[in-house]
Amino acid sequence: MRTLFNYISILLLLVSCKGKILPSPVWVNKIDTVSAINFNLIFATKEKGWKANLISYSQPVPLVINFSDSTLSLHSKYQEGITEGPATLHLFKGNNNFYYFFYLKNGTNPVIKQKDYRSPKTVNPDSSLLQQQITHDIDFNRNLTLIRKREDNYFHEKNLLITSKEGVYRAQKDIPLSAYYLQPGSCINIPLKAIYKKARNTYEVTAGPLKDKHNNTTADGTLVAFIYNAGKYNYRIERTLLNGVTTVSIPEKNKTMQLKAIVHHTESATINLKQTL
Amino acid sequence: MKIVFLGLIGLTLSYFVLQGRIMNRNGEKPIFLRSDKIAEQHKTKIDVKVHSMHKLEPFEVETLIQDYSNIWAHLNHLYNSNDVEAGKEYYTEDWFRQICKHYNGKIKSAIKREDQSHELHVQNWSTDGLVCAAIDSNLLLKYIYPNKEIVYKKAAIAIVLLFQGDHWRVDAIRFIKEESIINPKIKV
Repeated sequence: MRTLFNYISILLLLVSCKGKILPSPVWVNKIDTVSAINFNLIFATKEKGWKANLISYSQPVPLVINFSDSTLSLHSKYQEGITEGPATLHLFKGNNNFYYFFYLKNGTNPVIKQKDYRSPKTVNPDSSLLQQQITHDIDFNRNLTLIRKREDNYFHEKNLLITSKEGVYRAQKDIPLSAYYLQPGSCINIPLKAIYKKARNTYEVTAGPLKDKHNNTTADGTLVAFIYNAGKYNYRIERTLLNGVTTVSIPEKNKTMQLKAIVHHTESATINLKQTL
Repeated sequence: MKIVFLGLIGLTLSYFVLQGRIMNRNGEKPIFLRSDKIAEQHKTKIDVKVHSMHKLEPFEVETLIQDYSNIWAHLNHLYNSNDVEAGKEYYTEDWFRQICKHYNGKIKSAIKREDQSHELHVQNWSTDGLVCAAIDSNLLLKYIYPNKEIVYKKAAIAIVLLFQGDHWRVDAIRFIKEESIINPKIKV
């Protein structure tokens, strides 16, 4: 008899631990699409002590609950946008779990901005003036939106023929990180001029102005090699460009000296220094 | 006098030793020295189809598959826990800022999400290999509820990935559609 009493006590204890089964709270202001930024979900229930999480497509968010007059009022304390998409409201108390499904949206008129990626970021006009452009539109909360001008796709790509004038440009004027650089190309010819300086007995040789095929001044620092011969020897002097021009002094060693300048694969015409006097 | 002098030296040394012990050291190792257990334990099937003008090299596809798997490992972990920090290496700064707006500590989500398979259609691929825009269609997701009920859903999302800091990171997402599917093996 005593053993039976013990068994009954344990059974009662287990039943009491299981918890009360509660009726599902009724969503009073039920809607299919909920605004993530400003919502207030109302539920009718007689029970207190509920907890709630809003489970968006990206993350769960704890909700603030107010209970009064058999009514639960739920809202988010953050009032911020979120990843839009199907969402679940999880309302729970003890072992009672209830789920409510809806679509989560950040608002009717979200601020949309365009992202514009360019490739390459440094364009060499010697090879091509084509630049790849990849664009998409996103809202303030990193949700992609259909492209405004092409309402059938989230992404757009095209090859742009950009300007041939060297400089730093921005794909989007207000975004410094969208900057790209069109560098000057290689020079297409090397004008040479030599003047004899009697006092120093030298030739003052000027190469330039050096331009690329788009009439951009060749980049500062470009190496110019001056090669000349005097008798049976050849000499080489190197100088760097500044504003497309460089000069070098060549001592007169022979009555007949010939000189040319080379920049990468481009060669100037050979000039006879004697004739330039 | 000698004892006082030695005592002072002893006190000074003790001070420096104790200061050194309580110093707040930043113990976070750089990413290449860390092991990412969430990503390592994650398994999914990813099928990549390339539709972009610029075609991918095999090694680029391989990297994309590995990083996309890691991204989903952390997206699921975020969905399950609101642990924004665990996957920060797979989020761009803007995406990280966005998810932090709803962070006030970790919480355990009642519903657990697992990604089963993906069909990643690469729409745009930048020639410098730093931007990837793709549609993940036939994304099979498994939702596990606290009562052990399992629901399978097939979804489609648009996603933009940026290659930053040695791997792909999620920068923007658009949920396109989701529908429940019945798995014959499991009662839904």
